[in-house]
Amino acid sequence: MPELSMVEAVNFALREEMRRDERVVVLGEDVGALGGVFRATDGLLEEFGEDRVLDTPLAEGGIIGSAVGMALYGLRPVPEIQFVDFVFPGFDQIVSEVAKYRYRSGGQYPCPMVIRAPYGGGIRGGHYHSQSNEAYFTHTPGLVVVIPSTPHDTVGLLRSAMRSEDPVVFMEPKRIYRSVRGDVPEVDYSVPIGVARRVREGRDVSVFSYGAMLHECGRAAATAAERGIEVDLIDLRTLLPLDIDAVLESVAKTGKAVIVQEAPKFCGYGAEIAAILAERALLHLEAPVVRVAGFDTPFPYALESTYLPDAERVLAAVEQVVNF
Amino acid sequence: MKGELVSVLSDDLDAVEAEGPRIGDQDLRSLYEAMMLSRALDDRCQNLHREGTIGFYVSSSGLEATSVGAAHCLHAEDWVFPSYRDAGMYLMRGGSVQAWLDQLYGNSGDLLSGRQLPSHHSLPGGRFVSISGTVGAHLAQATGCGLAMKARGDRHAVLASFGEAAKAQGGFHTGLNFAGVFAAPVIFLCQNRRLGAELGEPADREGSLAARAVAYGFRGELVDGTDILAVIKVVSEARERAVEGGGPTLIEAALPMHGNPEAPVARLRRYLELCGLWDAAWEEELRGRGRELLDAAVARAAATPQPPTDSMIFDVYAELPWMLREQREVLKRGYEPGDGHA
Repeated sequence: MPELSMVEAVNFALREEMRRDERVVVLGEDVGALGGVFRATDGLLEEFGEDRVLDTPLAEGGIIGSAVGMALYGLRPVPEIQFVDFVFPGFDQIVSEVAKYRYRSGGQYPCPMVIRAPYGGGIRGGHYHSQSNEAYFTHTPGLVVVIPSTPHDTVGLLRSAMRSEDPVVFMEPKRIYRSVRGDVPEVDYSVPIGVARRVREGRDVSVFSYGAMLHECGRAAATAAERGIEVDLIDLRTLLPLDIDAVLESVAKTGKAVIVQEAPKFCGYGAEIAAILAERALLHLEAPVVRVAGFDTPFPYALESTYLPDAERVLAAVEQVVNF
Repeated sequence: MKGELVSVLSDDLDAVEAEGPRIGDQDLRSLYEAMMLSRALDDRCQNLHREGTIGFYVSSSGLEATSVGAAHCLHAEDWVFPSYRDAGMYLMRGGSVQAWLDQLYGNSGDLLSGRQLPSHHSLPGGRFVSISGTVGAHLAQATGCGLAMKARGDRHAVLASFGEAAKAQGGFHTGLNFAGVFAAPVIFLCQNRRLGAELGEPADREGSLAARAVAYGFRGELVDGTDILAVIKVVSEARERAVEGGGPTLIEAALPMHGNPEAPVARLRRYLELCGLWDAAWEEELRGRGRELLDAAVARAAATPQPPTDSMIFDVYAELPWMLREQREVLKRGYEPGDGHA
């Protein structure tokens, strides 16, 4: 298999799974005839027809709501929210319905689906096309939240998500949709949900991140290595449920932790990692935990490169904790 | 715009026979029994609520003709997205009086494991899905269920029931708009209890629902919600249309705001009497049977213990993630110093 970009990997995984499992259906705005604004669903309408690839009216509540009815009936819907910034009209369906159906019915009505949504900044999209709002979902019991950072993991995790009995919010780092490419095996492999990946082995400091930010961390780690600092870089991949063992094992080894997210800092996902380290790894810690994050502002348009963490800011944090 | 009000029941038996749906004598009596039981159950539950035994309850009083009548038209494979005033539908879809009460008590017999506020029932076998607290959230879901039936080539239909408040919600618009766009096999049934003194005269400024259906590109019907034969007529026609690929129907069942809540049951009783299918002894027998059934079920529900403490953490996910495995252990043995992390 040639190298695939991130968005090609999404398309590949959807197509393969739709061939394998006729319960899988795709729905959303412009996912059919147009093939999706990012081409993630390109060619699916032609191959699978309009009963399985639905160009819906523009209404996120209707898209997620319809997907709920499909899931209850036994299909495996994959609704697309064109940009995660537009999820809020469908937010009630996600947090009050999708996440609650299994629980509130005493297990009678599971509601498995994969809600795909491009997220994140760095594309000059302003705050309606740039947010990283994963923490709203990770605060909701009943949801699984996944964010891949490579084409290999995009295919493997999307497969696992479509085969999961639980609803999965699958957030795709659109900034690296085309810039990050990688090999995707032709075999029907999957990447398990809830398992982090060690990107780089190091003994000096743990760096935890996910999605587009993972690549900034990779650059920072490479520069750090030139300066004699070995970073243990962990791609969390699944935010809910977190691979807590990977986090604790890494910090037990390094004694230092940096957490990198592009979302606003206050009450962001990194706060949960920091709290877990305070509760369970305090005696391993040799320096304060540092979070590198977006600012506590709405996502700015003109100053987005100032807002977004980059390798330089990550490196500064790494050196700060190592030199503590 | 004001729709034509569909009604059937009257003292003119020839007219009823000419205009009404074909229903055998035994089925007519069964419908009456179901309405009587639904009413008796609701009366008892209202009392349990008033005396403080159950913490919350939403009455279905006066909705017997719509709830029982609509459910009568469905086939076993059809799906129901109910509102919380559909006790009649619950019973018609195979729900038991005991299961209904166990849910209100939130006891360990509850099919929902005590997870939901009273009156938010669900039934798996009856394809009677879990009721949401968000008014109108289920309408797009009903549409999606219908789209799933279409995608699978299944000739079934979906019944979505809601009250008049839902028509102001965004969920009403998205649900009906999607249904119209995709010609989903859905029957939208609004049980409108806020109509004026005259049936079909809207009491609020939101106007007629039947007229809205036209804008969504499908058929709207206004039916007398106290007339079970009229309800059965329009709902069975709507179901037929749905499974034949004719798309959705919006039915507004008119229930007068200050009307007599006895009307639905009394009107069918009067008709049965005229047909020679009702007598006082049978009525007494039905009432007695209902009382006994309810007495026993209430006693049993009251005596059934709460769900086990650690049941709280199940059904969040298909399998327990590590947080819930840890929290289950804490629930099983009780909180101890050092559990702060769990």
